[in-house]
Amino acid sequence: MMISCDEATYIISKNQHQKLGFIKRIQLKIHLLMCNYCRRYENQIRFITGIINKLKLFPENNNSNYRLDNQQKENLQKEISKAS
Amino acid sequence: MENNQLNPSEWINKYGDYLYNYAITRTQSQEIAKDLIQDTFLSALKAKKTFKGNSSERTWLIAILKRKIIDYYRNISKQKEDKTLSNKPFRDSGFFSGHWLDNKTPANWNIEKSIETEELLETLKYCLSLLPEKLKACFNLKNMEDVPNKEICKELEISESNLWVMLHRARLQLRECLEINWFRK
Repeated sequence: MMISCDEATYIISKNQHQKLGFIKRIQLKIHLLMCNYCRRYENQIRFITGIINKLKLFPENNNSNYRLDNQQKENLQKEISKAS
Repeated sequence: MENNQLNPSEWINKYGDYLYNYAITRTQSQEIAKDLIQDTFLSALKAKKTFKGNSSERTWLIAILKRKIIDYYRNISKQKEDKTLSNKPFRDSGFFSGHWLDNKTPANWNIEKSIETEELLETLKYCLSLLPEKLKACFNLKNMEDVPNKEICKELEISESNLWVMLHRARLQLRECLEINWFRK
């Protein structure tokens, strides 16, 4: 029933993507009650998942907005015209 | 409908920057992103006839770019076996096997107080770029592209349990990197 921090953090990672089964959920809960570091880990992973989702959904309002410069655009345009 | 026709001569101006940013966010590299969008436009030209007009031009181009990103990760993850198995932050033997190593325990981040600034995003992107290729492939396909597990496993030739392990390792590394480069500063 007892799991290690390695297993607990593995379950935490999986839990970012899917619901846990009953046993896994209980195992994780018990572990987190006892382990301050894994509690921190879980919070931090959730935090990271949150920012990744933002980054993913809004690539264009990402503050460090990248732009193709005119030369690059021209080159691409040439490639397209050649191919079409 | 007029707007659901393809107009290749307008592609670069209309979608160039958008696709470029999309690809950078997912590969953490401007150079690779440039190559990928060029491939995307060329493939799109070849596939012009398959465009049915039931999605917008942009959606259609993004779908092609997504495919290019998956191909890219499939290729790099095949290139070499990287040391994804070493450097776990846990003890590997003894009574406390599997528990945090003393010098690797997560620090208190004060998440409540930390604001999601531009620098934080930059640090995160930097940390993503440091992941070993195979972990990066798994992490990005799963989290950025939302590719189904089955497909990731097929493309990268790994089992599903392997994929979960890789995602786990990617998170361990990412977290540590953020802690060192952001929260401890």
